[in-house]
Amino acid sequence: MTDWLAPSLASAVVAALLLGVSCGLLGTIVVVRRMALTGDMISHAVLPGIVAGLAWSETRNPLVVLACAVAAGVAGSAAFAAILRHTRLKPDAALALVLSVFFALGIAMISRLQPSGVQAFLYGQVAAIDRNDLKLLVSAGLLTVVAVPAGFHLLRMVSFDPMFSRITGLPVRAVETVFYVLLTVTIVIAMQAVGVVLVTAMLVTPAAAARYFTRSLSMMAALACVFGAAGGVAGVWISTLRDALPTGPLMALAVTAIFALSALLGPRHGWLPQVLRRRRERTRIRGEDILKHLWQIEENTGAPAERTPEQLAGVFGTSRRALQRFSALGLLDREGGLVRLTGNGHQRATELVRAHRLWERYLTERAAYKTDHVHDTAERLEHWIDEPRRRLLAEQLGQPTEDPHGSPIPPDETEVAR
Amino acid sequence: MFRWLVMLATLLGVAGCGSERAADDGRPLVVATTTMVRDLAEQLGGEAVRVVGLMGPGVDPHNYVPRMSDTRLLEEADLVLYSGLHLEGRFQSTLEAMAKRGRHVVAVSAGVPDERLLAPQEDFEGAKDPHFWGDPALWSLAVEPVVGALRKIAPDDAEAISQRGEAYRAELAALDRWAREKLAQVPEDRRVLVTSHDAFFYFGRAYGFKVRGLQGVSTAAEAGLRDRTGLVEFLRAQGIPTVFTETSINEKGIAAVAREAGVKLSPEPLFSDALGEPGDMARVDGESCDRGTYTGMLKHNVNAIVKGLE
Amino acid sequence: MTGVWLVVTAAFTALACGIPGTFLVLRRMSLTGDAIGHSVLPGIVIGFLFSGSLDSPLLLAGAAFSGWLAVMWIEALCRRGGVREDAATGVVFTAMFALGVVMLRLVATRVDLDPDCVLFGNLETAIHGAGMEIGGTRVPNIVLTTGGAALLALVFTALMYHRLLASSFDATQAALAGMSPGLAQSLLLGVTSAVIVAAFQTVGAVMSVALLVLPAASALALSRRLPRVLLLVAVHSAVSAVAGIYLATWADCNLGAAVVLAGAALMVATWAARRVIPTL
Repeated sequence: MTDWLAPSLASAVVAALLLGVSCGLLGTIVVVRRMALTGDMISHAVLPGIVAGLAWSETRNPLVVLACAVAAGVAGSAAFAAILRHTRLKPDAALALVLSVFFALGIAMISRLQPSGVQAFLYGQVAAIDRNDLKLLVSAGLLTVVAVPAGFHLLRMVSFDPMFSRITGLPVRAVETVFYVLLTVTIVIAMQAVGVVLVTAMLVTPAAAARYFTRSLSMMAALACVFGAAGGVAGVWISTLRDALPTGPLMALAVTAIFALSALLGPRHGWLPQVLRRRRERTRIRGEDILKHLWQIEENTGAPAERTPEQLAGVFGTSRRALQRFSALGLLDREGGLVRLTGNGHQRATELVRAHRLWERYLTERAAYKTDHVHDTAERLEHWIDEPRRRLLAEQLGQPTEDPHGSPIPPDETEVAR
Repeated sequence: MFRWLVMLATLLGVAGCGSERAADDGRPLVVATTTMVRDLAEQLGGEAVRVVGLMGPGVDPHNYVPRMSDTRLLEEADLVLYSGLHLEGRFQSTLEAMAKRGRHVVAVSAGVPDERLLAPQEDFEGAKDPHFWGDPALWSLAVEPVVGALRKIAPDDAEAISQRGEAYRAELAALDRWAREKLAQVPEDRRVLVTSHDAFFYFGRAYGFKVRGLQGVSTAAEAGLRDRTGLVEFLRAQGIPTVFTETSINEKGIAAVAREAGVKLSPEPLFSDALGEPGDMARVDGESCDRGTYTGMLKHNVNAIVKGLE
Repeated sequence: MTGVWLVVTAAFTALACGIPGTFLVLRRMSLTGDAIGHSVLPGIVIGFLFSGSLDSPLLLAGAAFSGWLAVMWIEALCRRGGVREDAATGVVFTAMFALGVVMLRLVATRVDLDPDCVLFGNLETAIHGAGMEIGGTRVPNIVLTTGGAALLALVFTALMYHRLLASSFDATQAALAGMSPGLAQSLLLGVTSAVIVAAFQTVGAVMSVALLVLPAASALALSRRLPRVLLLVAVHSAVSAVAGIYLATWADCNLGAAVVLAGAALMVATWAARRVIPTL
């Protein structure tokens, strides 16, 4: 059984938690500002700095490496800005250029200096995380956890409306710089766990997953932290199950799994909720069509309509779900195997017919539709208009009494009741 | 602009170091991949050949990033010597292709018969543990193919080369005896060698040590978490006082293990996949030895191990 | 002779990447190239599993498929999943890269197939590798592979020129005119995957992004008309290959990296010249 309290495992778990939280917070801002691949640029651009730091510092002091890396990251950002300012190139090209050219510089330096320890940054080595790394991680994590929520308001303003921020005198430059440096520091630390390529996974994927649950920025940040931490710890756990399993990629796959679940089940834009929503709509529309159908039979024959489900199926196709739902809602009566309108059902049907015929009037009078072309459109529109709008429509048309085909437009029953 | 300046400055600084490759002087050129192979070529070839190593001291052969001068050297070499057994990674297939084309390319491990090679701990599908130089008796077997190859490219000095081969084999045998004696000083219950990666199995087999590394046979693979926790448990259970760092590998990983298990980190690193700087002298048993040579390296290692574990 | 092969290989690689890269840059898909470069790894591992060798065309096919799959997923997430394009790219390529690395560790236990091929190239040594006898001289395989990739890029551009031209500048217009921008797009992505894999040995996947974008980035300083841009791309590829060799020799560093750095210097020089000589 895995000894979770073993310091090496504990430090890996703590590192995963801290990284998950830091990356989740920063990642939220990054995703919301559509800077998702800026993290990728930074993680590649810092390589020259890391190589210089490793070759330079005899004692392999992590702070020296970090400082050099941050310097390289800032240089990368400056290069990015310079490209945008001095060339016609678009941001995506500029990003790709800085990313790959700085990385090339790093590789050139490695081929000359061959410092040891670069592997840890390129591929990540969670197993090599020691107390110094944790101290660094805790400091960076604390700073992030304090700075980001505190500056949230500021960041939000600067993110969504930089122009306004500048006009109102907010220190846009300063905020951006602080954010960028914090991002770079976190990325360099994260690189030691998951490697240069997968830092983007820890930044972007949890935040993207959180998006499926909420629109609120603060909620999204909180969820991103939870997802990032959960994914990170899950990755750590899985890598303990067998020898020589790479922890970094497993962490990335774990957060991706969380993302996949969110994409499937998340209430906003999630696949399953959307499928269910659409199915509910189709049921409602089918049911309303059935109500109208029965009402129109009554209008034509003068007697309340009764139909078997099979007869209805003949007209509309299988409607079991619609019939069940609408009888549960008290709009249809299904005694004796025959389907009838209830009082409420009759009222609802009247509203629908009213809507339909008003729409037909509107389309012919105001939208230049030909009389024989209006039915299908009105057939669709009738399901999507509620009472206040029906009244508005009637007013607009001057309270008409007949539709373009000569059928009477039922009056507004609530008004009649009054 | 800015980026160009940064790049220029760095490259100037980096390039200013100059090339360590020797100039052409008419002698046959031997190109060696690792420092161990280079040393072997130098010991046996003497003044008859010019030897150039591709990888410098302290360079990890598993992760070697090639550079421009490598091409020219490989092109001009009269003989290319490499360690083999996939130590050099994807470089090996290039070298094999060169050999197939008729270039003079020799793997020094070819002198070691298959049955004396170890299979690595992981399931490596027929591949062998490449670190056979850990055992001087096996390294001695590498002398023959090198002597044979050198005699072909420097036929005028064939006699001298063969003699040097004999002498070196004797020297290695003496080294082996000395190492065995010295290592006997380590008590039975402490004969466990824990290092950064699985480089010492042959050494362990030769001198009766149990061996365990944090990373596997190749440093290209990340050390898994389970490997680390397993190693810590192992250290505690065995009651070993010291673990050893390696010169070509960043010590962070093994240092963390040491701290966690409460054991000492050896003050002297071991040379595993690379020799030291040529001319880097150390005193062992009253004699000075050059850690840039195989013999010096082994003496240093044995000394460090004895000091750490006794 | 080796020196010649080096230049030729470098030039072929630069050309093979630069041509499709031009369209990527024009369509603002530069980062898709980055994504593809990272996403080919699972395909390569699977190709290696089935073929057992590193030189098999199965590797290339697997890689191309893997890269194409990644882009399909990115698009699906964008269109159906409501994720922004940059985030979708980040999610997909990192997942595929991670998958590739895990597969690599679990399956290809021989050290030969290592993920280093993503990070850097080894042209310096590969140029001495296996080759074919053609007309009395030995042509290294890597020359043939990259030459083939360059040829593929050129043929592709020649065949799809008009569709690419139309849909690169105005996708709606192209659709209206009856050309399927979708087909051109899919083929472009497939070709990009193939040239990136061909570039693995020269520069690795990460730096192949530079080779995709740098030539077009330079050419656009001097012209906005596609035929001339493509010509300039070819010139840039050749010049940066030669300059890269010189740079690598002078600095004694990795050749692939040097070619990229030379190309970058050329790009900076081009844009600087344009500012100084506005009539260019």
